[in-house]
Amino acid sequence: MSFLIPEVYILFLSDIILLVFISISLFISAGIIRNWDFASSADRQYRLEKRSALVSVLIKYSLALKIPLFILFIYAEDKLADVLPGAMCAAGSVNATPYGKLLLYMKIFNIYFFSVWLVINRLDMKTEDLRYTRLKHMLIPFVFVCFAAELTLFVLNFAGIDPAVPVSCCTALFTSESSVFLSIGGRNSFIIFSINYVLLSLFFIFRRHTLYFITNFIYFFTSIISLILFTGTYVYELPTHLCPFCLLQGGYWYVGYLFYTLLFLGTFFGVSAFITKLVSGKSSEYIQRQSFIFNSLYFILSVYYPLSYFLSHRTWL
Amino acid sequence: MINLKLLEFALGSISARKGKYIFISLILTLIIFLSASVFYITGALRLEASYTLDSMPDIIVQKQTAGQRQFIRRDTADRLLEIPGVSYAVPRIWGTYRYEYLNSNITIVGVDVFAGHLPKDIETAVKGGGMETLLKPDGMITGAKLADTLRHIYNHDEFSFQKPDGGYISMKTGAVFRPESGLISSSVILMNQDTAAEILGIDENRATDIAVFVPNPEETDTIAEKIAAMAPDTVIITKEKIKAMYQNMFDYKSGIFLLIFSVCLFTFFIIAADRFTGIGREERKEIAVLKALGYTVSDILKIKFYEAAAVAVFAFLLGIFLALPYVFVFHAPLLKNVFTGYSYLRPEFVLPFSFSVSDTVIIFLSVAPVYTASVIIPAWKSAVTDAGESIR
Repeated sequence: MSFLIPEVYILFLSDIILLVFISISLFISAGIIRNWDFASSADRQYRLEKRSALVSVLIKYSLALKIPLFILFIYAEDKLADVLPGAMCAAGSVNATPYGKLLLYMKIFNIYFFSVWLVINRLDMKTEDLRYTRLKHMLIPFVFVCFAAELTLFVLNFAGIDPAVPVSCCTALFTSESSVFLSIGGRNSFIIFSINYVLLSLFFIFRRHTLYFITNFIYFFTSIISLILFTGTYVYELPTHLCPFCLLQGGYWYVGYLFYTLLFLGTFFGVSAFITKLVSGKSSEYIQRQSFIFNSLYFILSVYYPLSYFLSHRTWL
Repeated sequence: MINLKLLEFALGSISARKGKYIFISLILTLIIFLSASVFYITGALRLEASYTLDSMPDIIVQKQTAGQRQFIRRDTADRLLEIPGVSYAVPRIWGTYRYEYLNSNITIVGVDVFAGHLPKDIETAVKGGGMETLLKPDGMITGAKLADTLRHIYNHDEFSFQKPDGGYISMKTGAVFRPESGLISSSVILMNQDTAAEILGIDENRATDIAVFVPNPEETDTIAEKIAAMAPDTVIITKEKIKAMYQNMFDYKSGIFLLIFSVCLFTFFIIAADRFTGIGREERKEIAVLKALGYTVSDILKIKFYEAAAVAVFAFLLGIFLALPYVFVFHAPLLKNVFTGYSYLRPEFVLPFSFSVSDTVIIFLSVAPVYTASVIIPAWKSAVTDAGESIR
């Protein structure tokens, strides 16, 4: 039923196109993994190099399409909340079926994974002997499996949504009982988040790349928990409103999109710097700096809301 | 990010080979035009429906036994008024009257002019000189379009209703009302409550349903639960439920359209892919020269993408530009019927202007992925053609 909602339909149609493309990539990669030999001047090697170029175009295209589609996905979930009884924002519709949450995580993971693949692809293109070609094609089967999993979850989720069954709204979902991480309280979560940021800055200044990567990884989680428990409440100006999705609505000037874009860029460049070092052995100051800039912007935005609230109301929530 | 020199080259390449692109951009424009029209019509209808929703009661209580709707006792309203949070509850008398001659239904609404919380349109009709008509037992107020239709058939402003027991009641048109929304009101007749009950065959102490008004929307659900506990033989419809139903209905209709539309998209995909695969000798030579000059495969791919993107943007803008006047100036002839159904007393409504950015983005996303996908593989094929072979 919910497949006929235009947004969901478009998501499905585009995912089918991507599935076809990723299947083509899988097919080509299988050939490359088996027969790749850069030293050979045989006709077959020449053909494989051409096909390898097609794979990188297809994956690039997939990522370029997946990012707007992810925003459309969030928008569609938000719109579904109007139809589902009890839901007031995407939190309700994401939890309407047991697959919704998994689907969301899988979508986020896939965007990171595709981006990492493209980082390796870029490194590969820069080398004269296409050193990492085999490596990047070894990853294609995983790309395929992850994407197929996402598509399966997508179908299970949207086929399973029943508009007659009431769902919970965000305030009922994000309580301290629902998860260990949410039981730590707003202040504490923000303190942990700030310590995390300070560590991140120190490792950046002293160029500890591996440690930077680890803190960057943890930063992704602490920042979201602090956003739900602390910063979010100042955006809503309501201490009981704990929700990562309502931020995306027009009532709060769609500020959520800014939060999540900054967080994605910051953490992605962090991961990408680490992958670059892992694969090529050389560290890229440029990417590292990008990561730090976006992570800092996110931190500033997270501090700005509570601070401006305090300055205008002379009290904390 | 965007290489302007390559973009310039791509635009030059399009103007050099106009024939190849005119056909594709025409089809693409048509497809975008169609899909945009459907989305804009749905948007306009949704806006039209929200006019109706605004003046609706927060809760409607109907009686239902054995799965059949029954007339509800009027004094139930007094019991509902005792629930804290309910500001007003009133029994309403309305129903449809089968008009065989036109094979249509007329909606008869009994209006109690002294009741509060009248729907906006009815209140305007009452205040605009309809008061006296509604106080008379044989006066009625008809919708503007319906008044015209009746005058055409009978040549005077009178209409005889047949009662369920076979007798007739003659009513005179005392006034005409022009509601904000044509969709709901071009088959509506307003009249005195007692006369309406007589025509519709409703007992003196019964009503069609009871409208309940709740000033605080947060309390609506709780009050609905209380009513359900108080009167288990009722069906309770809240405004929220109706809103969700409308949303579902419009999504469903545009979804069905999209389903059929996807066949169209698929055909387009094949045509476009086929068109782009056929590279002429000239073009092949051009690519070979570029490669000889030191262009990489990815540069050539970029040029091909810019070409495709330029066509897509042009077709998208043109499609939207054509769809807007088609829907909002000419009120979507032909296509509108898909959404409104067919009846002799078909509402002559106009589509209110409602341009939504999110709909426009969705239109773009419904066509762009398919189109760009059809370009990729042909573009790659032309980019990797062997330079030496082509020049020879």
